[in-house]
Amino acid sequence: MKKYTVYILIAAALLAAIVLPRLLPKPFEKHVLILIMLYSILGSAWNILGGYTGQVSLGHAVFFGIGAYTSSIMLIKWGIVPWVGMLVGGVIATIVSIIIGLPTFKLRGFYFAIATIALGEMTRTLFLNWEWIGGAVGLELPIKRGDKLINLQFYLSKNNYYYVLLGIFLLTILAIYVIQKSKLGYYFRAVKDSHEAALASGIDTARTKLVAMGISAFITAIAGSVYAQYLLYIDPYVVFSSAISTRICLVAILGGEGRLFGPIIGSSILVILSEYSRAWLGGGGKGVDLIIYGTLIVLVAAFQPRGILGMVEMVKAKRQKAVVPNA
Amino acid sequence: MNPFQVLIQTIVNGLLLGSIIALVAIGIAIIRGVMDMVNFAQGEFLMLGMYASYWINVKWNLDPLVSAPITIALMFILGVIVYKVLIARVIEAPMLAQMLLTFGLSIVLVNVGLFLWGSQFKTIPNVLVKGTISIGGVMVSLNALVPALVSLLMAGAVYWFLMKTRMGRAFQATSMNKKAAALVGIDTQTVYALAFGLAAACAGLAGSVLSISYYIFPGVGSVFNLYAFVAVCLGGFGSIPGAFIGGLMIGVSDSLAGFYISAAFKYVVAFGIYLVTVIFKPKGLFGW
Amino acid sequence: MLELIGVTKKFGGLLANDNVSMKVEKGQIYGIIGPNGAGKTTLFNCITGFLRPEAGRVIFEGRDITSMPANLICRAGIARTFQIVQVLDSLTVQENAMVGAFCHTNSRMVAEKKASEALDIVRLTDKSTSRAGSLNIAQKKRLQIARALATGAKLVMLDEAMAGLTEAERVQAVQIVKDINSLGITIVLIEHVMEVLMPVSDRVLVLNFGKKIAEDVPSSIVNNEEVINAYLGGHGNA
Repeated sequence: MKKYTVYILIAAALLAAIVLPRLLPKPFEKHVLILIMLYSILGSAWNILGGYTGQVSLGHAVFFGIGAYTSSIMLIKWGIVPWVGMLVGGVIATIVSIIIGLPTFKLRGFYFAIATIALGEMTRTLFLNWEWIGGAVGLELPIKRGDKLINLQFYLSKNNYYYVLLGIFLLTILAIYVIQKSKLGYYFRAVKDSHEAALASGIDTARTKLVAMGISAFITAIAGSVYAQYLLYIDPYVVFSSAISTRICLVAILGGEGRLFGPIIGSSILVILSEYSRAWLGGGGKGVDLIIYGTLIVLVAAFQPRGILGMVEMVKAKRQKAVVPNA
Repeated sequence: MNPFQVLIQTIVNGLLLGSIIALVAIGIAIIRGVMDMVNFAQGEFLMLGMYASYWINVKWNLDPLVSAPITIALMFILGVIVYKVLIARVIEAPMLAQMLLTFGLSIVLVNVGLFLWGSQFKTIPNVLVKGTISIGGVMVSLNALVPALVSLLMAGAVYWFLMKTRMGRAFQATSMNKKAAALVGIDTQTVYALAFGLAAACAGLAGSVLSISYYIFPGVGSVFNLYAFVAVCLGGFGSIPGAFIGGLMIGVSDSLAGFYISAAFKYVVAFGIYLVTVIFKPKGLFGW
Repeated sequence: MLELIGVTKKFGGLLANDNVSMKVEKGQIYGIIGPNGAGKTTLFNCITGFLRPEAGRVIFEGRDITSMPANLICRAGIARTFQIVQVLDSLTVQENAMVGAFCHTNSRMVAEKKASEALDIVRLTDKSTSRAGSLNIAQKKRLQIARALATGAKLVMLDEAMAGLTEAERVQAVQIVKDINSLGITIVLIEHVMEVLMPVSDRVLVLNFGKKIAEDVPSSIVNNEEVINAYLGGHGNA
């Protein structure tokens, strides 16, 4: 009975996700939907490392940018279709993540977080000064008319970007679900909770963190490639910005870190709030939209440190307690 | 100037900048040391300190160095209020919630600054100290030297406070063992609030002395914040002298890299130094 | 089964373990006692790979495991608990034990089964769906033991498994130790409560200021003059 309810809910959510862009005709609404999906993927990817394994990264834009740049460069210089570039970008991001992870995973807590900020800033500077890939001027992607899926460019219907991202999101969720249920998922959580206990259970903690980082970087880079195809223009300020790193982390924490559906909830709230407040109040560079955005973050952190899903769980637990006073 | 003098000049410039970074870093180190959390909004206290100095100058024509005590007091009060209203709620929460809160606070403060005072750069005209002096062939601008000396003085005062006063020892006791401190009658909530206020005051003073030689704009905090963090990690979280030395090191690396390599790469060098240091000494140079 | 030859560990100028040798036979319950700061936990850490000794060797089943990484030592068959309890707070009791069980299997089903068996032995089966963070200290200590057992270890090392427990809890813990031993698992125990350690141990090592001052059967230990002077005499036997 209960399992049925879950299946029905999932089917309904899926149906809603598919129908949704058809109900929202305005370009701006479509843009918001695309961003929600993009950040759901990014938040989920971050969650693998930050939420499940407990390594808080504030430099995920590094992988996002690598993904965006790899597929774009391959397309511009060699005419390789973005789908291939996307996978290559994912692999490069994974390799970079291992190179970053090997020395930095010795660092605990804040030291690691600051190191990832530093790496993010360094990577942006390097790309800004790397002329071969366009430097500060950035890259314009060649336009391919005709809305073919193989080119990953859609003019006639922006919905297709959304569907591509939805597909990647579903694959990501599925992958995380499988990992969660496997030995690896247990190891991730063990490493997060107690480094000592993990070691004493025979877990190679460094390797476990590297695996988490590698998977996380791969998915982040994939999303970066799609983003580049959507914008058709990238530069280091856009794809390597610390604002992206911060937002990726916020999406995951806001929804409830280490929870499968946390990122989509966090992403929906954050993107809708920031995009609409920017559209309504952002004119004139007065920063009102960001005041609201920041205030929301502060309020969630101060009043519900465990994220939205944490709040839902607490309400549930209270209800259960009310029913069974002894529990 | 011969190449050696140029080198010395560059290092001196770096030390002067580094002393400001060091003051912000000390604030971060106090908060980390006493309440075991990280404040990502520390740079924004510096920004507010700069604007406070600016507006006091505009309204009452007081030089930022003269009005520094007012700025310190204002920032201290703001720090205590921020602690009581917001930080106190997450003091027992997981690290992520604390990070989230101070991140959000940083975004709010930057944009409140933008909303109230606009994005254009402001400077303070007719400052009290100006001109340069020559020390052994090295030219030192007074509007950089005096702030450096004030920073050093403040750093010394904070260190003295923590080491020698009764309240300072209560800070230390709390940082070592919160429960035990509470047992011997220390009101940890008051200690936390005062520590946060003190940290804000440090950053406020840094802003105050920086305002006589630097542009004032809402985003000014972010650069100093990042540098101060690196300085604190470099010195070892929670160590006041470590944070100070870390700040000086970052200032010097910024100056040297900016002069000898390229202004574009000065962050890369500063962060590179940090990464190399923590990889070999994961708790920083003076960390425990 | 486990042999230490001249293990030495320094912290700065302090000799935490000074040339300690000991020999644990298969199937034994081997006790290590000593006042606070005698170097008991340091010795545990040296054996289990959490610290690297400066000198000396650790031999397990004829194999030199000195300075091997902690996770590999666990795989080799030595599991441990911690004095300052380390359980995985956000996981359930069952999942905690499963993490241990995954040491020698990739299968979730097998891990679940092994975990249940381990929880049975430490009498935590009724708590298996609770979060480990919600357990009391005695239950957490038992959960650590379950995790160690679930790894399939041949040698289980318990660091102060009885300290801080009530009388009833302690009796239960002693029974659990005996139960585990009766399964053929060798046990090394650290305690500073003598009355607990002496009756269950087959052999006892006494440490004082990092040095081994005696190693013998319990009945001889209680009559050993040096032990009485260094340990019982000075500090009392609280």
